[in-house]
Amino acid sequence: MSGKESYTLFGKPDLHDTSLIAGWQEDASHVGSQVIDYLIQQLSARDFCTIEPEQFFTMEGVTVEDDMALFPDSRFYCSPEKNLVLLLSAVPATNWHSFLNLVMDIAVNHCDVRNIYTVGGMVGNIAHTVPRSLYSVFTDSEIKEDIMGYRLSETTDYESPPGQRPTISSYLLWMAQQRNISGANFWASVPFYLVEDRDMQAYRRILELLDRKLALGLDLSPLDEEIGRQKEKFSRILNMHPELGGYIQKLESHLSLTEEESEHLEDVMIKYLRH
Amino acid sequence: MAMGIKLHTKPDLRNPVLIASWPGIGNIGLIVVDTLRESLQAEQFGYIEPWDLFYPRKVTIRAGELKNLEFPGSVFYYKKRAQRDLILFIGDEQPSSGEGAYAQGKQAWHMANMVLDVAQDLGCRKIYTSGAAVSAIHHSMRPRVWAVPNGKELFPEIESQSNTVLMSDIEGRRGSGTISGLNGLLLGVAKQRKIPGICVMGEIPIYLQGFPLLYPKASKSVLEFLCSSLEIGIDLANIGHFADRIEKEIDSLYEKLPSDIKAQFDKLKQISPRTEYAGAITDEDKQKILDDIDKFFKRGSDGG
Repeated sequence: MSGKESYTLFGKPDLHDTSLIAGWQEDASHVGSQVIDYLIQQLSARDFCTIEPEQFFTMEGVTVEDDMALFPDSRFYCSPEKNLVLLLSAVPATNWHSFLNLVMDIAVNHCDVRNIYTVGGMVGNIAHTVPRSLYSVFTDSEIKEDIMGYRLSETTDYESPPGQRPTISSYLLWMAQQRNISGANFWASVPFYLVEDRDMQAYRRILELLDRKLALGLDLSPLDEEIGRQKEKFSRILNMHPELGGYIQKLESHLSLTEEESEHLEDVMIKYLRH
Repeated sequence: MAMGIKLHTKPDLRNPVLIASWPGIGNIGLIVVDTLRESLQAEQFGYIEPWDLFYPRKVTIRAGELKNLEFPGSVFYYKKRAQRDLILFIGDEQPSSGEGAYAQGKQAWHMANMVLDVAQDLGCRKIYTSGAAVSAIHHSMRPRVWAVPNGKELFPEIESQSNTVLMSDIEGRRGSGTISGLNGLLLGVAKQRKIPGICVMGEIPIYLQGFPLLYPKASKSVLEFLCSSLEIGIDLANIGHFADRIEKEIDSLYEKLPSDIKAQFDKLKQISPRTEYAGAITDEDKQKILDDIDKFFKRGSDGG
């Protein structure tokens, strides 16, 4: 595959010794896309490169979500002042290895990327009232030691169960590892009933870590205001549906809900949060 | 300009809007653009060469002599107007690397890019595509228009139009769905190029989707949307007559259906939120009606 045919550079940014943060459009609670969007806005990052979609996505039409047509976009942004490169992309539908190789080529050849991070959401049996946990996977012990100082959850052993494929973030991290580039996946836990909506607290958990780790100087107050508004919305929903209070308490006590309870909680939340 | 694009002339257009369509269920979009072309007497100014995109669709042999090999057309038209000028595009077929009727693969991507290349070169900053929305309605009802924009800034335009809904207004969809083929793909590629666009789809009854018939009644609804939104003044009487004629044909076929099947389809009159019967049945009844119709179609195709 020829690189020239597979991506378009709009300009040649002057980037040195940078970090890349990647987020994916298809993600629990839109964590990946919302975190990257927040960084783009806050850092006034500008787009400078797109990967042409036709080799990696099926060109069968468009999907519609939240009333709007979506199209697989894979776009790089940069903030030279912060030595930062951002990638916001749809998850490719095919030719994954070529796609990720291309991401690595662009990152290394055009952006002098030295570290790669991915951000995403992890669905959990948790209540929205509890602090979000942050899980991480690392390429090597050095970066692990460095990052574990940032109040992360304990690392665990994990093997993807039969029939469940590794995530695209794991795949990208592995590709980085093959090229001796350090990196980490960051996963914020997301209550299962917010998977289709936005979970501001999960976004904040990741942004807080990135801000400290990469000295980005982010202003998180707009996000805090949104968290406040979302909390008020949750309270109103619980007032309208007092039966949900018991479910939330069960989740807070690490107890599982029945299938019926989970469905009811999810349905009510989707119904009210969307309007 | 990319290889494969042939322009006879490059019209000087003011702030033009592109309205494009390819064949689909009921040819709803195609009828829309063709009606605009004919009513406005739009002039052809170019086309896309078919060689790398399509297989020939017709051969003409006379007395054993090959006279002609015809390929599907992909033709551009324009119309200068007092308000925004129009670019119309009509594709006779959807290019596809697979076997389906809808566009897919590299050829579809290539086609979408060529259409937008031409439109952008003429200064186009907004596009519309049109197709069918398969819906649980009865053919006696007025089809609504389902509108899907490729950017948030287009919601006010959609919400200002009558008889128009967003995906989230359609029960059970939660604002999600798919738009197959080039009528959807063009919207996506436009989004990638940061060109605002809306796909406007006319409703067609679920039981008509498999029939090879035109459904101008839905095209008329879409035309009402476009004429209002783009201030296009055309007489819709002709398409109204066309729709009436097709409806009579459908009525005639409908009357010949076995009574149990007709009874199932008649129930669609009851479940629409637009009918006076809407409140008369429960959600469970409604689901059962839809399940029954679904079973009917499965039974039909299994036997087909």
